[in-house]
Amino acid sequence: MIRFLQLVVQNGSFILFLILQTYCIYQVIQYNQRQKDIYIYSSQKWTNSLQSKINTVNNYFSLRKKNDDLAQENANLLTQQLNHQSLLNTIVSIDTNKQNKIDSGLARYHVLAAKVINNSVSKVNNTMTLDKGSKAGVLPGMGVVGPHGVVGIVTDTSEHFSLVMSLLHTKSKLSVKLKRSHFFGTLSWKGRNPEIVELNDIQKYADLKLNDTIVTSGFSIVFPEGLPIGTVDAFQVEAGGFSYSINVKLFENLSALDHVYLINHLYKSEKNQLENLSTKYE
Amino acid sequence: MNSTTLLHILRIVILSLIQILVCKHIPLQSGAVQYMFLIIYPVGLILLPLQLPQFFNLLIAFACGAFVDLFYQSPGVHAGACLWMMFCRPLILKIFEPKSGYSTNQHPTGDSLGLFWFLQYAAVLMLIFFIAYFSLEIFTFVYFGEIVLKTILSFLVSMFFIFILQIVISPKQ
Repeated sequence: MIRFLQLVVQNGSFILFLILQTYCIYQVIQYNQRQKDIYIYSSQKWTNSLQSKINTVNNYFSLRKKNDDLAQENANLLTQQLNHQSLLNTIVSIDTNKQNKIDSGLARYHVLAAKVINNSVSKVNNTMTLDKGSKAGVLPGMGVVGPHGVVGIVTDTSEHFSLVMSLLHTKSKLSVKLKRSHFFGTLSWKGRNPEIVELNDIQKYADLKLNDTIVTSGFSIVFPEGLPIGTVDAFQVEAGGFSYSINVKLFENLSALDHVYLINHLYKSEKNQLENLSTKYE
Repeated sequence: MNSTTLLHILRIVILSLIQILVCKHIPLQSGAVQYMFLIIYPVGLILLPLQLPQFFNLLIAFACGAFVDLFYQSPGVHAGACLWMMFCRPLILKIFEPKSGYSTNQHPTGDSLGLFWFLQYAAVLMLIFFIAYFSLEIFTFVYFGEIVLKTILSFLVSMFFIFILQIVISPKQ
């Protein structure tokens, strides 16, 4: 402190000069519009370039959160889209069948966003693990779709995680149809190429071409109607058979999945209950 | 406060008044932009006695500049330029110091140290003043050419008047 005071006494005039000069420059900037503009312009030029660099670095820290936010937003948009589709279907059916009334619960689907945290494609029975569980509202039987197409079905859930039976599972059976001609069949996997799944049960008189798009049929309530799955890669009729054996190339690359969406049909139990009645008449 | 100090302060006030009442209104403009400015009041600061502490010199310079600023509607510009000039004064005095050094009864005037000495000394300080003044006024070195042009023209016309003033008034102190 004493040294500092000595310094002040010794360089008193210089410090006074600095103080007064600073005050002058402050005054110049404060009261003269022209200098003020120049000051703001040039200081912003410097700070802006620094600020943009800081932002670039900061953006990296928030990327994870932004990704999650975007996934959530996508889930919301997907919910809306699916509900609009089902609403449109309802309206069409009202037109054809006038005495029907629109039921109050038009929203039929709810979509959750989740992240794949464990995945495999090389085994015979492939599963994947998602980072959302029963606490976030995931239920067994929910459909899982990726950004490009169908991925699989939730089989089990714990509190914070859920297990998904991928399309690349020999027990996976999915009801699908040809988008163009509406013939439907069953999708399954034989456990070889993770990019190709097999579509059976399409009768050999069906209208079928290469590169036809395969979409979900909507018969099983797991997936709404019309979600993309893949395209026809190759097809043939087995000797003496009645149906095509079709190789379907999947849209979704199951080995590079990150964010997925879980689709829940809100009236699933109601439909299952109703369909269970059918056993009475067998 | 003795009479000498009072004399100096009075001289500074009178020169500042001449500056704001007369010199400011002399039209030296030929084109669209005025490049020539007649500024003579820093002479009062240049003539301050050698013995005065630098601390007071700076305060006087600031007060003088701020006073002129009030009438030029340019807060800080004159005061800043005066401060720069006064800040450099001890250095310039050291450079132009006679071989025998300054004696206590000498003053930085033409009468005391010779007219040529005074003109040299005043010219360097006025040059510093003008560079600082126009730099602060324009506030960017983008218009460097403009600063130089204004400095040279204003310096020439101001020095001419300072020279005349020095001969006509010939201050002893």
